Amino acid sequence: MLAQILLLGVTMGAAYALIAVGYTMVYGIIELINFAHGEIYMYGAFMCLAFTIASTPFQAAGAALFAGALAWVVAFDRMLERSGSKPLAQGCGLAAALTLGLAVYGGCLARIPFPVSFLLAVGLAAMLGVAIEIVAYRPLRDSPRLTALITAIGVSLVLQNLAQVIWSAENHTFRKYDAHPALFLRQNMPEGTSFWQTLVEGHYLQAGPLSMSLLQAFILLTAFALMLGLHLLVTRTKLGMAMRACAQDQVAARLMGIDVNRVISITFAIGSALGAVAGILVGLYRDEIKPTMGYQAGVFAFSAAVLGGIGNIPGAMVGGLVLGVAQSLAIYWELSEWSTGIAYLVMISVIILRPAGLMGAQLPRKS
Amino acid sequence: MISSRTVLVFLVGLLVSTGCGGPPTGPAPDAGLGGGTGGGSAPAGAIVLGVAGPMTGDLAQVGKMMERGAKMRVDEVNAKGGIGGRKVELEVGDDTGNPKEASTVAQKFASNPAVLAVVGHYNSSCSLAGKPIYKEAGLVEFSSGSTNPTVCEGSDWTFRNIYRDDFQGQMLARYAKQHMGAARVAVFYDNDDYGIGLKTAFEEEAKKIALEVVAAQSYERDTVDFRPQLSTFMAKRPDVILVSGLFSQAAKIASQARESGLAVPLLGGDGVFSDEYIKNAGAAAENTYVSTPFLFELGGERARAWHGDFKKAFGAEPDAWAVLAYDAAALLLQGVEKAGATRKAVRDYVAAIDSKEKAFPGLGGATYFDKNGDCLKPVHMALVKGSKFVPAPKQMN
Amino acid sequence: MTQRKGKAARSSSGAWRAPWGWLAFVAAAACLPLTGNSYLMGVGIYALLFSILAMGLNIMTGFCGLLDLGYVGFYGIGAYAAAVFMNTHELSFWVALPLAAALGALWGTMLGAPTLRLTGDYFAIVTFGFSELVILITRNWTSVTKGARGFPDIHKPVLFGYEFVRFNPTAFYFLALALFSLTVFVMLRLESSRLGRAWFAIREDEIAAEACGINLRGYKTLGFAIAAAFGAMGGAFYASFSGTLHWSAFTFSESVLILCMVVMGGLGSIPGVVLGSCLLVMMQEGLRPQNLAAALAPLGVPASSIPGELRWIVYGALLILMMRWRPAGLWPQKNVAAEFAEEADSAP
Repeated sequence: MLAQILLLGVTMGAAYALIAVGYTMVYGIIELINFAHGEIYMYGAFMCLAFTIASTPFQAAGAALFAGALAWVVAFDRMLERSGSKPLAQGCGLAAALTLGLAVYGGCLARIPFPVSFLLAVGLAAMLGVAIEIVAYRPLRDSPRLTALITAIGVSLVLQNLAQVIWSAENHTFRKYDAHPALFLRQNMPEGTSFWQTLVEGHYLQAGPLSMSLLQAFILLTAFALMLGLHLLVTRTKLGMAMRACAQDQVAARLMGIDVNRVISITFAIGSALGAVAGILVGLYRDEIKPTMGYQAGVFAFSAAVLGGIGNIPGAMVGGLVLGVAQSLAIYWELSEWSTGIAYLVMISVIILRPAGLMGAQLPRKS
Repeated sequence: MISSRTVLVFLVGLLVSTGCGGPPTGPAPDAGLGGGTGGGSAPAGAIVLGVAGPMTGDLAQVGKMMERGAKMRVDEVNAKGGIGGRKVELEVGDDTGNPKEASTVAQKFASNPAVLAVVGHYNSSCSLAGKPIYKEAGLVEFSSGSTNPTVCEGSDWTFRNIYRDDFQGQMLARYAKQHMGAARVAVFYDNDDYGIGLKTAFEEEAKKIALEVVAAQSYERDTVDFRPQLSTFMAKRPDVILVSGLFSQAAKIASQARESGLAVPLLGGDGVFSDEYIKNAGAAAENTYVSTPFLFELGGERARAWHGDFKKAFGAEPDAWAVLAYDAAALLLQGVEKAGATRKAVRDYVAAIDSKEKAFPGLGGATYFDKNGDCLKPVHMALVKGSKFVPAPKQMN
Repeated sequence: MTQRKGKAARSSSGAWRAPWGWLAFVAAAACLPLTGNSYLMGVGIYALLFSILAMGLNIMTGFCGLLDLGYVGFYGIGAYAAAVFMNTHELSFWVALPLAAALGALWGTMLGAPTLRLTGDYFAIVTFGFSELVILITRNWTSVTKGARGFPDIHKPVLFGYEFVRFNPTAFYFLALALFSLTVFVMLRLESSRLGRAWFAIREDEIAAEACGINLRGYKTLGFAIAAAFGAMGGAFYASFSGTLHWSAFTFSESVLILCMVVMGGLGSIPGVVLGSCLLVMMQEGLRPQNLAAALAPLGVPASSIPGELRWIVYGALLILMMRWRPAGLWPQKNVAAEFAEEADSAP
């Protein structure tokens, strides 16, 4: 039984790790605790659900307006950087906003096969991360840290409550919409052949006394594959080198010809995409999505990042796993009511006793 | 310094202006004017009945049902020409299920003299938070949903027309033993007043009737993953799993239990009794037994007719919370009609219904009160079958 | 720039003058009960209570420049401590109030001493985790805090044989006003004291401050303890006024709300913080769906169509907009304004 519980802990830990990576990457590069990261995780899950099921026109319109605004911000910013012409950038932004807005509106009303919705939602979440950075954090890059931190809290508040307005505070579950065969491609494939269908319908892998659902296995595999990929990206590629350079010294990086804004945008995009993947997987796994889900996941993931050593990507993975296992152990010992507290305790004691975390952190510097 | 003084004066002006300009920001002073005269002698002002519950937030569905139930009764009374020529109005207070907001709502009702009684609150924690204010103001707080044993303690102004958790927990334990043939029960409980109260009563009764509680795990409202707890249950081989909590978590528990291969029947309190439970849990909801204060199927002809009227009026299926709020409104308005349009008269009228003979014949059963303001009402059992709540084949006598 | 700095230094070291503005404000506020409307008085009490809390938080965030995300933790400790002192130990409110404040200060010291050697971000996170732990403990330490059900029937203050009334809260209102005045007085004295100047120095430049012989950790910890004491005092008042305590009154969103008040009024500015608190409490009432619907009645907007989340969107947007365009707040403290202006000048 213990082994079984540990396995469940590892599953949640992998999800925490995926989210924690987003905190750590952003902290590494601009030394900001991105409070809005949990909301990106939530937004990814909601968009995926909105695409897979047929949303109400109100929800579709809300999602479309929001996505349009994101597209405008990102397109405007990139165009302005590239061409330097404001009217051109505005036109480009408007075109992008209209295209994406309409596409999202249609996508929400229609039912899109799950794998496609998954990718679309991850893309939108990445865009959200980039847009947040452009609108809220970039103008404050040279302000006192306090200013940016408070802004981050504001962004988180706005996003979370906006989601409540669009999708209402109630719980949304994928299962609730079981009646819609489109959800898992059931209409396209004969019974028993759909990968997605087997995935979410609770098929089990059995190994002695241990059993693991396919979905669980999928979460673990995806998480580890993504994190390995990220590690390779950061350590082996030119982009990764640019990211590390920006993390060390932005002025020097700029002098070396690195487009710092672009690198920061990419960092946000990657972190947000990973967060959204976690959001969708956890949404499927727990079968519940709600606007407030990002708060607690964010806190847990942040604790994981601190535990591993903030700014340290492998550290975030280790931290996530340790935290997930610790929480499941609390349940094993019938101390459920304290299992959330473990995250806070870990956070406080690590910061006080060993601020560098398990794996060594890039300690915050005074700007 | 001069400039800051000017701004201070501005600020004072702002404060004072909200003082005078109160009406546009809050409906209370507006209605208060009407009630100030109406409460005394002139029959001109409307009689106001408050209804307080979670109108927004997670439990908005319940709040809406309460509001509609009370509205139904108010409309009926108005259709007959009101009470003594005065119209009856419903004023809604949204406590969002949060005790802090509940205090504000209570303060607002209490300070509006036109409000003669309040139907509410739903959450026990909200009823408890409002209690000291209602008591001081001398205003009846009549809950149609709070089941915590302490809700009516220590206040002459608090009543309810629903059973208490200690009774409900007792009945659930007996039901598990007698009618579900259980010997071993695993318990999930919400780490909240409701969940803990119900679970404690269940455990106490279980000890008496030799029903073994093999495991008990608590959870928080925002918990969505119950697999670790379920796998600790699995090893203990329970015959029944009790969920002492609310429907949204119960739905998660049901589907995750089925998914992990735990096929034993589920048992729940009235917190699970909601169509949302079936909607969220889907097929996993089957074979769940829940206790409830009311079932339309057992309510006879009158309940069926009411069901139809409600559906016609609001275009939605009523549930037990609508029925109990309707009963509460009916009883309170009858008090206004028979005993007089003052808060004190309403309280005395309700408090005087203290025996079976004087019981108020509500839709949800005969209602009368003990000296605390609690009422003794039977617990009904429902079962999920074919994605619907139906009366369980065996009821507690 | 040098000119600005000179001016700032002068104003913060100025001799103490009678605060006529404050006296006028308190006198005007004392007239509110004349309306006889207990709903309005209830709102007034919350405005005063939150002003006290915001002024407390302002010591950390405004004076010392450290983001405290768990201020509500001290508020909760004070509230529960007062409830336990009054109900379980049968102490009078007038004893419980200072005891609660002292307990808050003790916790502030215990939490601050090890944490404040770290930089601001870590401090923010530790305080956040601390306040979540406070909630967890109030929910689960049932034997003392009565657990998740909430602490019921808390005693009311009794003054010369008069027992305060909650429903018609004139006495509570004056009590809140008295505590408010006390807080303002202490804050004004602190601001112009050696201690206050040390805090400002830390906020402006830690390294320079340390070089001038300021004991960073000592002064910061002292600030944290004083801030915590005021939070706990506010909590003790709240416990007695509301009569019941429930953990949900002490969640992170309350911390954010108080932070919002400080930021909106002006970091470090005492009148600004009070202004921010009053505005936000009024906004909170105004943005309730029912009140908003009543105000918009001519337009025929039903309450059910107004999202209850609206006010939080507004608060969030306020935080973002203020930080972007008016980081020094509506009523800035002079040297904070100068600092931000300087940042803007030197920004590339």
